[in-house]
Parts: sequence; C-alpha cells; structure tokens
Amino acid sequence: MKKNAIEIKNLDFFYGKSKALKNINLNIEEKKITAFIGPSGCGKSTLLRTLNRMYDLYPGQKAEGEINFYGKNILGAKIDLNLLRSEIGMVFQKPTPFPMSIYDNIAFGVRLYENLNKKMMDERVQWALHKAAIWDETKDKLNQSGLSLSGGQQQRLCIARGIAVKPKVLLMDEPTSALDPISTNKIEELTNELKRDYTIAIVTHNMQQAARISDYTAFMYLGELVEFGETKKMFLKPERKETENYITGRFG
Amino acid sequence: MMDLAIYKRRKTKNIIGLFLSNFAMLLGIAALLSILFVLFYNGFAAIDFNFFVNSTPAAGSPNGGLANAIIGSLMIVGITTLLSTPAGILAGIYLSEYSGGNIFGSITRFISDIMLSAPSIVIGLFVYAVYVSKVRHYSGYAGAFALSLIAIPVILRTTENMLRLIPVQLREAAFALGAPKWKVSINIVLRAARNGVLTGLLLAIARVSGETAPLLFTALSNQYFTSSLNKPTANLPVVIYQFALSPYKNWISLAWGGALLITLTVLLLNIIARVFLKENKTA
Amino acid sequence: MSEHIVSSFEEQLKILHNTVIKMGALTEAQFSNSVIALGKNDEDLIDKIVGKDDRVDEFEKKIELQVINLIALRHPVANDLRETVSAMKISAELERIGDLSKNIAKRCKVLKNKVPTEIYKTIQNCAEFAQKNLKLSIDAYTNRKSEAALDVWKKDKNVDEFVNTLMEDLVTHMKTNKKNLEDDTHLLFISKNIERIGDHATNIAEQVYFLIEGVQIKGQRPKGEDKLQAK
Repeated sequence: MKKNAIEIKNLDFFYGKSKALKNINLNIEEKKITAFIGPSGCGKSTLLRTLNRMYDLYPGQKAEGEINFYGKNILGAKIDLNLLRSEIGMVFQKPTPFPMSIYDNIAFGVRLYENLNKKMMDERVQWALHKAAIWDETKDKLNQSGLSLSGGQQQRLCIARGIAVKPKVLLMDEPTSALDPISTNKIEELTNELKRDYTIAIVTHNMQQAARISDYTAFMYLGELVEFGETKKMFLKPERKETENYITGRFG
Repeated sequence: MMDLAIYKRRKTKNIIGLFLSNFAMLLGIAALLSILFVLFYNGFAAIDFNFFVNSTPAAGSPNGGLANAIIGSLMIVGITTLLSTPAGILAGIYLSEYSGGNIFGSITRFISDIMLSAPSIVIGLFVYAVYVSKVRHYSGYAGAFALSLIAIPVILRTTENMLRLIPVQLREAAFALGAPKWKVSINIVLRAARNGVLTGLLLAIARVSGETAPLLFTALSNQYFTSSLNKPTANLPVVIYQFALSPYKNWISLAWGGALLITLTVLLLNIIARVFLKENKTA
Repeated sequence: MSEHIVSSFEEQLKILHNTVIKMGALTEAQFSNSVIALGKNDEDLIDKIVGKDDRVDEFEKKIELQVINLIALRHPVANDLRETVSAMKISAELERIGDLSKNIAKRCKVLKNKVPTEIYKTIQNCAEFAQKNLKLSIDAYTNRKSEAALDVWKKDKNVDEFVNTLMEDLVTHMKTNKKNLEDDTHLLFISKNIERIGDHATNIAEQVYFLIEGVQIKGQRPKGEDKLQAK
C-alpha cells in the first residue's frame, strides 16, 4: 500500500516579488527516499525549506498553495512551527554541531519536547548515535565537544541529532556536498538504513547520488517541477528532453 | 617581453614604503616603551607592603598607602560589571537576533555608537546632573553608574558583532529541531559566541577601570576606607589624579604606584581577553 | 542537438556507434559470402571468410574496451547508458553471427560433392531472409528507428519456418540418397546456423528497440514451430 507522508498541491513560492517555485504538485511517499535534482537556482532547496517552513525565519518569503503533512495543511496559519519542525527534521549542507558536548548535541533537541530521566536520556542518546552509525566512534568521548569530530562525523552527529527527536520526515539539504567520498558513502548507506523508519527527502547536486540512494527523483528547472518519477525510470529513460539533457550532462 | 624597468620601479617604491612604515612603528614603540619605563621605574619604587595595607595619608603626613583606593576601585568596577554585563549582553542579543533591522534596533545601535565615542567627562557630568545633584552627595554608586554607561555600549557592540559572526546555518539547525527562538539565541548562538562576548566584557572592564573623569564628578574620593558605596569612595584613578598634582613627595610616589597597578591590571585583562579570542577562533 | 559539456564524451559515443555499424557491415558480408561460397565451392572465398573472422573478433574486443572505458570514466545514464550497453550486447550478437558464418564456410570446404541445385536454392532462400533481417536490424540501429526494429522482431518467425521446410527437405534427401549422408549432415548444420543467425539478428532488433524506447519489447517472440524437435 502506498501512503504519502507529504502531498504538495499547487505550491508557489516567493522571495519578495520574485517567484521561485511555480505550481509544484508532488507527493512524497512514506518511508521512501525522494531526491530533488536540478541545476543551481532551480528551486530544489527552496522547496525543501517550505516543507518545514524554514523560510518563515525570513521576512519577505512566502508560500502559497497546499502542503499536506499526513493530511494537515502545514501552510495554514494555525500551525505551531516548533511542533511541526520537531516532526520534520532537517540536515544541512555544512555540518552544524552545536557548541556543546556530543551528548548534549543529541539531548538538546530531545529535552525540548520530552522529559526523560537520566537513564532514559542515556539510552536515547545511544540509540540515536547508533542509528546514525557513529556510536562506535563517539562512545568513549560523549563529553567532548561536537566540534572535535571530523567533518563526516559531525554530519552523522547532526543526523543523529535529527533522528533523536523521532521525527516522521527527515529533510536533507545536500548533506554530503562538503564531505569526502568515504564519509559520503557512509551517509548514503545510512540513508538506506533510515528509510525503514523515516521518510526522507534529499536535495543533491550529485546525480549519481540521487541514482544510488533514492526511490523517486524529482527534476526541477527554473522553479518548475519538470519530471517526477521512479528513480530507475528517470535514469534509464526520462520522459522529458530537459531531464535527459540534465542527467546526461547536456544543457539544451 | 617583461619590462624590467617597471619591475625595478615597483621594487624601489616597495623599499621606500617598507622603510617608512618600519620607521613609524619604531617611533610608536619607542614612545610606548619610554612611558612604560618611567612608569615601572617610579612605580615599583612606590610599591611595598604598606602600599597595599595603609590608607591614603593626610596632606603632609609621611608614608601611607592606597588600600582604601584599591578596595574602592574594586568595588566600583565590580558593581559596574554587575550592572553592565546583563544590560550589554541582553541588548546585544536583541540587536543581533531580534531587531532584524527595525527602527527601534537602528536607534539603539545609533545611540550606542554615540555613547561609545562620547567623552567620558560628559558621562560624568550627566550622572552628576541626574543623580549626584539630586541626592546632594557624591557616592560610589554614582561612580559605578557612570562607568556602566561607558561599559554598556562596548559590551553591547562586541556582543552584537560576535553573535552576527555565528553562521545562520547554526541557528537554522536549532530551529529545525523545533527549538523556540529564545532558546536558540541563548543556548546556541550566545553559547557559540561566548568567548568573543567574554572578550568584549573583559575589554570593557579594562577600559572603565582606568577612567578618571566620570569618577571625579560622581564617586569623588575619600581619604578614609569606607565599605559603603553610598558615600564618596576612594578609587585609584581619582587618587592618582589628586596625588600626582600635589606638592608632597610621598603622594607623588603613591600616584606612580597606583598608575602602575592600573596599567598592570589593564594589561592582564587584555592578555586574558586575547587568549579567549584566540580560543574562539580555533574552535 | 545539444552538446555534451565534455565534448569528447559525445565524440566517444559517436565513435562507439560507428564501430558497431562497421562491425555490422563486416558480419553482413561474412554471412552473405559464406552462402555464396557454398554455391560456388570457391576455396579462395572460403579462406578469405575464415581469415576475416579474426577482424570480427577484434571489433568485438575493441567495442568491449570502449564500453568498459565509458562506463568506468563517464558513468553514462539515460540514453547514454542505453547506447553504451546496447553497443556491447549488439557486438556480442554480431560476433556470434561472424562465428556461425565462419562455421558455414568451413563446412563448405569439407563437402565432397557440389550441393544439389534445388537444395541450394532453398538454402539461399532461407539465407536471404536471415540476411534481410540482419540488414534491417543494423539499419534500424544506424538510423535509430524503433518501428523498423519491431518489424524485424515480428519477422523472425518467417526465417524459422523456412529453415524448418529446408530441414525437412534435407531429411527427405538423406533418406533417398544414403551415400551423401556426410554432406547432408553438414548441410543440416549449415541450415541450423542460418536459423541461429536469424535469431541473433532478432536479438539485435530487440536491443535496438530498447536503445531507442528505453523499454524491452513486450510479449513472447513469435516463433516458428520446430518440426524436427516436435517429431
């Protein structure tokens, strides 16, 4: 049974007066990986940032249309943004560990919405680090600063931090673009593991990455959704010429 | 073909420029060193055990020390720190995280900049006018109040600048977990900038601990030791100012000692501040 | 047509495509020559066919290397990927056709008597069908026409049916002329080779269809009933 975590209907997005997204219609299936590809400035990151309303931090940016998150329109006025973001986590391009210990990096988000005793918190921290495949590297130095880790480890720490609050959806905005190939590989393997429990939407510049890890791929160009479909199909025989030109490295 | 003449001309200009800047640097250092030398020479001669335990001597009486002025200065600067730290840091957080370019923020920033460059004697006169002249006596509190007015803009601006250096992604990362704004500002942004903010704080304290003019109109001085800041309170800068201009030899000597003490304190604060800032950069 | 940013990629794909076309032309010639050699019993032509088979093999190796390089260095996707993979698969089919043609030529050499005219006519008929399918497949590849490829695919049945008739004729001939059993056995193998060449031509057509459409041809390939096996 297919079930959609997020259904986007007629979404427009504006930076001030300029329209960055034009009439986007797209469903993100539950517990699958949906990749967003397209040239720089095509609106793929913008689209991702509408899904947890990150754009709300900045005046002058607004979205119109509907984004239904398990049936609830998150663009509505009555949405509590903090609660929404606790259910839709996000991982950024550059690793962003908080200036605190590895343990507290994980616990920070959990403490916001849950009141756990010491033992339960310890378990949660271990669970999240384990899930993000970084437990072995950090178990002996949980009290050290998160900044002491390498770039790839920091990014996995950020993923652990994101899943520690047990969101339903995880948004990843070019999560490996600042990492070396080995760290990239680890994170790609990780996403494959994570999709058992989470719905993942990932923006990537790396088409091979989209091909490797995603179940569905959306190709965006100039603020429009050009093509959306199964990744296998997109990389074997895309329907649209623009998609083919982009993924084969041609520009038309 | 490369034109050697162009290269040679540039090289000559370079040598001249280098010479001039080195010369200017030597001039500056020489001035500084000569001041320090005189200060250390005269200052260390004045500092002994009595310097720290005896109060300021009456005019014409021998010996004496600066104990009352040292304690007074510590109390005034301590109160100043307590007053200006929360005010400066919170205002800095407001400007960086909340004002977002609104009019109130711009006005605050503008006034703070004016106060940064205002002559300290004006601040002293202001406090004299609004506080001392109303209660009709000088007091240590008035002095701390005046010094706070000097320290707050310094702390405010450094806090704001340090917070602005924190990448926006870090804020977004915290928001993405569902953290409310105040928590993001205090627990994440301020925490990430803590070394820089602390540096600003130390520099502000270093700056006010040498201020004389505002204290002349507010704390004034006191020949005797007092534990109450509600009375005129002895403090190093004013004592130095009074003693240095006096005809008594032991007073002049004590003034040198006090000047050295302040200099060393400021130097120490600066060094600590620099260490913090360095850590901030490597982190 | 838009250009690759890396123009040499475009170039490499074009070279690959052309190499396959050249290999196709060579195998076509090998096959038709082997049928001519069978009719004329021309020793020189036979030697020439056998000698040229090495060139067919070289083509296959060359294409394989090009494909491996493209996959390793360019990570082709979408139409580039289909182009690359098809080249490898088509060249493998062509290599088999080359082998089978060589096998026909070799068998010509050991025939004791001239092939009876009426039997040769039937063989020629079969071979013509297979040749036509092979040519159409290669043309479909050259011109990138999926309908043409689909036509070939549908016609494979005809070759099969002709070969079946041919084999029945041969079996009848063997029953009546028992002293020519050795020759007739070779002729049986030759007709089987022709049938296989027809199959390979159809495989190529399937591959061409996939190359252009991105999906495999749906359904079962229409097959002529193999009457010898059925008996």
